[in-house]
Amino acid sequence: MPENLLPENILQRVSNALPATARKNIIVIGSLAAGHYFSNVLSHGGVRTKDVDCMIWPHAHVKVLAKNVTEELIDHGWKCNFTNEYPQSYDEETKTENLPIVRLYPEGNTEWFLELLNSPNTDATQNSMRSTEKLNTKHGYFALCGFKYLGLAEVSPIQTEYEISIASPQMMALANLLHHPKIGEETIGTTNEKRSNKDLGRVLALAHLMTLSKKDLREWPGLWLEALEIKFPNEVRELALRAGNGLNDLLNQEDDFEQAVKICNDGLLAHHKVTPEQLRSTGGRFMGDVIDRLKKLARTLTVA
Amino acid sequence: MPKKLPSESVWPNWYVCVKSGIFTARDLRSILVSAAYDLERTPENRYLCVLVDSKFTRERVKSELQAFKRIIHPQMAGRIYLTLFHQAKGFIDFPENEFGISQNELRQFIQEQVALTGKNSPGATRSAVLNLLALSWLNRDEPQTTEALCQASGASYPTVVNTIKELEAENLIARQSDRRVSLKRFPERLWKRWVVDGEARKSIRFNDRSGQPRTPEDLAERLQELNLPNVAIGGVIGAKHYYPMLNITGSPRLDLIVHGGVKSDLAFITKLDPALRQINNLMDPENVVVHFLPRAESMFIKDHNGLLLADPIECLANLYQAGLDYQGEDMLSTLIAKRK
Repeated sequence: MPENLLPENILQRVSNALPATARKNIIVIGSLAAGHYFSNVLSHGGVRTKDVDCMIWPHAHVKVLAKNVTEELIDHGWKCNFTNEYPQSYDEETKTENLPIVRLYPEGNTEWFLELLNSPNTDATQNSMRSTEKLNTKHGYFALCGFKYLGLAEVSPIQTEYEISIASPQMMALANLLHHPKIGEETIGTTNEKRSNKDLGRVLALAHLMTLSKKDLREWPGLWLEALEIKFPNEVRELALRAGNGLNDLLNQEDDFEQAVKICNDGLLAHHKVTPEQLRSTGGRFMGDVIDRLKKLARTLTVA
Repeated sequence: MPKKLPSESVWPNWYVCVKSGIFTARDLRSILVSAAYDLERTPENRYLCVLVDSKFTRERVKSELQAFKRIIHPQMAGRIYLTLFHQAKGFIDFPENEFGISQNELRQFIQEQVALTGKNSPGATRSAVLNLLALSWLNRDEPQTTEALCQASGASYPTVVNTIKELEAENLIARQSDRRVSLKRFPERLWKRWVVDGEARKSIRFNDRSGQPRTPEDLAERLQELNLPNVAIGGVIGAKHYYPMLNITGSPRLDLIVHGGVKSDLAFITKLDPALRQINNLMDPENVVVHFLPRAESMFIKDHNGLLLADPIECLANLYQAGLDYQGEDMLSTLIAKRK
């Protein structure tokens, strides 16, 4: 079971270990970012997670930055999580898919780890949802992954007092929605939990916390269109019109929805324990307040 | 404001009257007399009355119509038609060729009218008449004829006449020399008994299932976005428009007034908030209560923000029904004092 982490402690620890010049190039994404953003409503018990996902940006400088960050952290005592399947490699010829990813545990701690991702390579994600690049460090070669829609996290990231930024909940939600236009079969690690159920359920968890924070979800569609204009200018209309498809499927597929509720209650909503009926209500509201409004706005756009 | 659709706009030179809850010969004859009056004023028209879910047999309706036609002018007699419609079975008797009206079109028209008017409950219509008279008194409107009250309330002629008689017995009615009537004063005691306590006021209650209930003010704003001409806001929000000094902070629930009967389409509730579910247990707290206004004229108004509001009498009734008696008394006494 993942541990309860206090976002402030983790962000501070990560920031302190990073090269000062690299801090501004880190955007924390995922549940820790949400935990920081919603600290006012998640103040009791922190966030239940074990991974701290850090995206390095902008893409043009990602290899140099990732090299510096990885080397600095290891030099500060952070440990790599090499396995038999993905051992340490100094061989330039090793295929990228066989290289370990940058997954580092802070010194003296095995409760959580930091994982480096890169800002997606636009060329590599033209025909794929994922890009993988080879990273050369003095500690060996690593694989650096980027996901097509994760680039949205670069739009209006929120600066923290620790100099590193967090992705905004709106952009994380949009990235998750676009990444899963339907319920996929991919599962997480050795569990039977579907990746799409986790990520789409996360959208509902973010919506739940937004409402708890008295923030209006109806502002999201406008922000999303602006972000799509920046990141995917040629696909704005198409992406906006299909953004809600996966979530709609989740709300209509009982088993998947129940799994999503369980994952939410084991993670971001661990201290809220929502019922399926409550999260379904949140989903219904989300479809009306965000997805339907987004579609309405998108239909006013001219076809690219 | 939506009101009973004029059938003339659908079928030229036809006046189609849809009546529910007609079970006695007295009511039926009253309808026929009203038809005769209408036809005298509009000699180019024909009059079709559809009795919905009536217990009358086809033969009985036929014999009543024939008996009535024998005592009126033959030219007028040829322009009056009666037919029976059962909501489950459809038309009991429908000479389409004679009417020249499509059965399907007429069926749709009937369903719209039934939804708008609701079941013709005697209690509800008596309350409707009293509410209209009370509203008229508050607004210092002109006295009204019995026919005007029939038209505005949707109540049958005998119901209006009997209601006026009951009010007269309580010394509440002022009659003009031309028989028009108005209230002498606001009938507080009677109004509370009929309108507030009466079981005639059907309402449907909803509560939030998300664990994050939207505020009544938020829901009111969202209702405005839906732009529904037949749903107005009552309760505390509506009352505050008529009486800004209402002594309450915030609204405990949202009272909505649907212009129509209990069979009105409530699909808008899901659009308003997908987290709302209907509840039947009176012990469950409600977030939204829908009331029905089955009279012909909604008398809704728009406030300066564009919110559609129910009339002050409806809002007042909602306050009492929500248990806000103190606020209700305060508002009522202020409205009465202002009127004087």
